[in-house]
Amino acid sequence: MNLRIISTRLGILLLILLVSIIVAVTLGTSGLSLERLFSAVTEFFHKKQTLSPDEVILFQIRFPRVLLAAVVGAALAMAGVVFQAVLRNPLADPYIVGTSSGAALGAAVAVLLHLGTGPLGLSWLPIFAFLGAVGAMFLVYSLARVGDKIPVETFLLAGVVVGSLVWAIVSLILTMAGSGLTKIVFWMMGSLQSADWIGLAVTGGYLITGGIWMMLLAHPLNLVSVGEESARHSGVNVEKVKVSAVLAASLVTAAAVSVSGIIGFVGLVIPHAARMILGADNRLLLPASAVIGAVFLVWCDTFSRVVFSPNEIPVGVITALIGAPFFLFLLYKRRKSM
Amino acid sequence: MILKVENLHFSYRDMPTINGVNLTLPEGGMLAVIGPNGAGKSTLLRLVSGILNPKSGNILIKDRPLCEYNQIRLARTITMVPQDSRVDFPYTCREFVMMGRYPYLGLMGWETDGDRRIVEESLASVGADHLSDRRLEELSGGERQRVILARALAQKTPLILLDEPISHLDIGYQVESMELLKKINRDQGIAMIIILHDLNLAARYCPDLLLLYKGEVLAQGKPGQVLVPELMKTAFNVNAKLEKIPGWDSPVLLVESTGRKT
Repeated sequence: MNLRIISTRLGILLLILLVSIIVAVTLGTSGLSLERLFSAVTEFFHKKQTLSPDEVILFQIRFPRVLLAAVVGAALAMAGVVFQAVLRNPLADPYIVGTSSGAALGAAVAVLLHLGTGPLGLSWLPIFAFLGAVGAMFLVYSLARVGDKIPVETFLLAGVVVGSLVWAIVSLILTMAGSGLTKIVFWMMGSLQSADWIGLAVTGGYLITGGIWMMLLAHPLNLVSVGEESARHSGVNVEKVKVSAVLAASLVTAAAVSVSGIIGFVGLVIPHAARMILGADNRLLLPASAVIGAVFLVWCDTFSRVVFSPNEIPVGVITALIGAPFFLFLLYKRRKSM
Repeated sequence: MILKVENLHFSYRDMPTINGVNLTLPEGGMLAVIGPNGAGKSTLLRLVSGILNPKSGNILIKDRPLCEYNQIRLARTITMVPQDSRVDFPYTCREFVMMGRYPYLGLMGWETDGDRRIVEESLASVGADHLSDRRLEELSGGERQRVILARALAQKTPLILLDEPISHLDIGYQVESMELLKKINRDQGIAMIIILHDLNLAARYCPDLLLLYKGEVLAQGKPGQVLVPELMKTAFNVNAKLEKIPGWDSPVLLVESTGRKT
């Protein structure tokens, strides 16, 4: 595939993302026409007094939420690409390998301990979420490992069991912390309701850091994804690459989980779609998955808040409704090819 | 000497042990390693390739100790063709062979025209240039084996180790693969160490055999010196005869019966 095809396809994807964001901010319980959107935007940049109702909806609710959906979608999709490469298994995803649940556990502990701001002005919540993510991932990995291979069967079992155990502990902790049950359920099933500009900026910062980190590992990850021993024979420091990649993927997963709870299957579905468009090379797959993941979650979230408006469904319910059947389809296809 | 192994010892958990192996391989040489299951053939190759660390002994590559090589320099000197393994991602053959260029590329691994030319040449020299845009997962066993070999060639090492490269192929593909390896060895001067199960193919295509048994070298030399009845009885527990066939270059090993009491 030459450079022109690649840049055209990436360009089209970016354009789709831009259009999706603009359309998504106009949709909601109180719909905004495109005209009202444009007049609200121009008003916002012209006058300095109080905000009109349209501006409030747009700039304090819709924009942070839609942009956060894009950032979280990109983060989960990129983490999915990395987990799939490290585990040499296209069925991996931050939700399935237990990273998301682990991050939720870490975040719940931070909530229980009433931890606020830690060193360097960073919030403790994503840091704890990161530790939880790495811990859960490590647990699943060591349970699933047979020799130097990770068979699909043990890997899925370990992921599911660790996931539900952690789920139970998180529910317990959050109930003890006195959070309302509805709030807990929404967070555990994934929701972008609590979006604001600060959360967006922090999550965006983690995504950019983790994204660059993952891109730097994309080339050696190509070699690891087709075989660890052959990668070693081609000069890749496999252990170092794997550990570093898992840390980077856990970081972005933790940041996403901290603001949106557990949203499953994005990291599973999106890399598959991206591979159909741009092939298997992780150097292209990572940016492509980021953009497609952003588009996907923007639409899932819009759907979640519009379809039963004014009530909301957790966005994780929608991604699971799409992702779980897709997962079963992949499993079925895989069984047939064995 | 491209490779010199002196008094090599290794033992780890339930892996086969290596007990005092010595071997030498000249530049451009072609050595077949034979021996029963669990004799330590793969372990020996993994020690030579630097994946495993020996307990004691020396491995010299181009007269320099293996431990003095860093990972990239080692990957420019030795590579290994692994036993066939499943690839779950839709890489094209060209992308896969390009992975052999890893020790020559920069951080992000963007390739130059020179790298592209080497990849095309490697695919051509295994007769797989028509496969370059196909996906690895679509290929037959024989085709995939050749593409995996092309990746090793693209790495431009003077020594290639092959771990049972032909054991899952039918006899037609086995002979074809051995002739291909022989041709590459002769034309490009790349030294090879090949683990083989078929003793007659080993005798036919490799001038030098090494018989490994319980982690020790029982014999190293020409087929006529290694495939002798006494050694076959010790190593494989079979009653066998080595026959000369008029007009054939290499002797043929005929196995008559098991040496075990039945």
